[in-house]
Amino acid sequence: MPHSRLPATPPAVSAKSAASDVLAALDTLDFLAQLLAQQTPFGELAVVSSFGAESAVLLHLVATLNPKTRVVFLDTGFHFPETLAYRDELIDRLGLQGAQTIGIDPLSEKRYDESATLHQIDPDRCCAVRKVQVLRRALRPYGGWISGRKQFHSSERARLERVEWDDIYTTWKFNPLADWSADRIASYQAEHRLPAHPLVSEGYPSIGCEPCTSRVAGGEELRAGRWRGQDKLECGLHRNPNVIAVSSR
Amino acid sequence: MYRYNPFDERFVQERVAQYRDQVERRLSGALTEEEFKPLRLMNGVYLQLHAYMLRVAIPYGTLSSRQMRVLADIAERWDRGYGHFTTRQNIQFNWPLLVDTPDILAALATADMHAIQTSGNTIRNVTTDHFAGAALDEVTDPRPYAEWIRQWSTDHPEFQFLPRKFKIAISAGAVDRAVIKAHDIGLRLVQSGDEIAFDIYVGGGLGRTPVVGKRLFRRVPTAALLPHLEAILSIYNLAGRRDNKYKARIKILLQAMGEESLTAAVNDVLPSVSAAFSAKALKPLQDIMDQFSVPDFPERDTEPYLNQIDTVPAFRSWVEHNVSPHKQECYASVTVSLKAHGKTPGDASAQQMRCLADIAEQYGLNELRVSHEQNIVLPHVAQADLPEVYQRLRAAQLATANVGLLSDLIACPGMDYCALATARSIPIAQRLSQRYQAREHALGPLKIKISGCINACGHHHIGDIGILGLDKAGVENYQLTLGGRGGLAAKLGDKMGPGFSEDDLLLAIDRMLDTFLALRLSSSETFATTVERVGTEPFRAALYEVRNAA
Repeated sequence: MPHSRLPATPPAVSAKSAASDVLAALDTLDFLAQLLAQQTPFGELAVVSSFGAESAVLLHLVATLNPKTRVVFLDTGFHFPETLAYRDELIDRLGLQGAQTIGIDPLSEKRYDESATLHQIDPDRCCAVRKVQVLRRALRPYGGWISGRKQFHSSERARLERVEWDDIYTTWKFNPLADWSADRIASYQAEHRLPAHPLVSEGYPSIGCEPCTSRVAGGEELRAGRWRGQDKLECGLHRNPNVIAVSSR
Repeated sequence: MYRYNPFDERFVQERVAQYRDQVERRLSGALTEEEFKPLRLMNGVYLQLHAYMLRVAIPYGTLSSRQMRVLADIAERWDRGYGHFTTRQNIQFNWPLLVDTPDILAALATADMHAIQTSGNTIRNVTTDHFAGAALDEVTDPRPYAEWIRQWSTDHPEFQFLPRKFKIAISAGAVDRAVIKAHDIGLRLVQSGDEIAFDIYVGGGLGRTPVVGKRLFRRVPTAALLPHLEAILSIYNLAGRRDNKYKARIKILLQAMGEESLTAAVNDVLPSVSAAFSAKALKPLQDIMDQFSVPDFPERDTEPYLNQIDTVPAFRSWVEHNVSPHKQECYASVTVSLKAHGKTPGDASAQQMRCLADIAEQYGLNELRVSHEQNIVLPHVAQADLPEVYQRLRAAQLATANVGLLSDLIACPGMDYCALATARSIPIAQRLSQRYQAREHALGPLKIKISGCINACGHHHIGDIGILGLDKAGVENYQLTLGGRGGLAAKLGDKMGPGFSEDDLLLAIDRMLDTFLALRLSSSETFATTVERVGTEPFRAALYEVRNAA
């Protein structure tokens, strides 16, 4: 595995941690507007989107506030064709001008998964090389990243904060929709007539890679269809609970 | 890398002097061609259709930058400015004058090279994995063992006049990249506890009677390797046929005796043979190993590589096809394609050879390899240097991103050069690579192999598509085979049926590829997988439909 950088911890008191307290007090729209205007001490930030079941809400907000924002999509090579089509549709409909699709580099792919069967043998490692390493590469030019995760997704995400220090990528991470409820997401989608991911109506409330995503039955957690039958809950892009929560709103 | 010791140097120089004298006697008329022929063949000098040809040994395909430059000098000074890299990891010069050949051999000797045992009924150059020493999947570097075998077999007094030529290949990877099952002896290095051991395959070979080698000995310890080889060769030397050169290879002996009797015969002589190898026999191996010590691979930041991957699609495509992972994380092995579309597969100009030597010196720890698929490999390149290496190769027209694709085909010299050929190979290769240049990426990995006669130097039996050029009443006629493969699951292709004229051959291959595209399950299914899944019948049907329609 490539060498991960030494975990750096954020300074206890700094312009950034102070700024994060101020930011955390804003409502979602102001919070995001500040981030995307690139006037915070964090510099330029990238939005990372899976173009999954609920992605349209954050992307719509981003398109409204600053359509030139970098929006990174990690192409693992195993997405549902519906996801790729939905990505193209959303980019087009919302007018996202900074969208970037990025995948594993060819030498890493040959080294770790030449036969494209790693997801069967070792899904953690597959996520590590096809998502985590790739995101690390994608985030290099940015001062932090913006994710669409929400507290209601799962019990693991219930303590999700709006501003975090991300020690996986040693950078700042922002979750503007952390405290949004499922209802609020749904009504925003309806209000702005945002297209739904085509697989949502087929029983997929949370959509990852095709081999590792299954349908969810009524009464199950939203992410129950991810890596079903394994004790794996997250791909490793995110760590739960957060190692260092910077604000507590 | 192995450097000659004083013994090697003296030996090679004596051979050059001896050969110089032989050439002088031939030129003065003191020797007839009949008398001279076996002497020149001992030194790799053939007489082909239009000229002499000199085959230079590149032991196990490994070259230094210095050696590559000497090859470039020879091409420029004594040939027509180019050389031809072969399927046995050697290089051939197609146009030397006989009178110059002693000087060429002398030039080779200045860089630890020679042409000994590149012809004749002897043990030929030992070939191996072109990624040896760099491969992710190898047990250990097989080249010290290959060098050990080279030293044992060179000028071996008992094996200079075997019934027929004898080829040994050795491979240590989980994937066999040396086609060991298509050799008289194929050796596979395996880990046996803490020790290295050898599985010995015998009796493989292509040619007019293609046979996949059989594993006769398992897990032979290192100390017993040379005794086993010597015992096998001595049985073959005595029992192999000498009455018919087409039935003289060890594969025919194996078929005649059967696996059990041949194995038993070898085991019978093993004790006496082994007794002649004292414990001292392992000493040279230790010395050789010291010369192949693992290079120091300094840690390098991969940032320049990753940056170009994301921003330069042509670079990315080249990496996808021509660059392989290395056992050191931040390094890679570069395959330099000698298969530019429309050019002769395996040819390199003197300028290109020098360019490769320079790149290897600057970025590749001074090492180059010749692959049996007729490309050049830079085994040790830091990923950080890949963008620069790519630019340098591109400037020398050496960055064709086609390794593993249709145009990365193997072709023998065929009737353009070879005295044995019954049809041309090179023009077929050129026409195919140009014809499919635009489509080959969509077709995915595909091995086409072309031989211009039944001797199968172009390995057509083990191509996904094999082409065999024959002479039918004075007209070239090309037969197709389908579904062959090398590697540990080696398999000979199925013959498709009656042959085609040169023009019809292209249409026939169109039909086969269209059939594949219609039958493949997804764009990621390879030609080989489709053939394996559906069998050869749909292809045969498509082929002869074309013929009936024509």
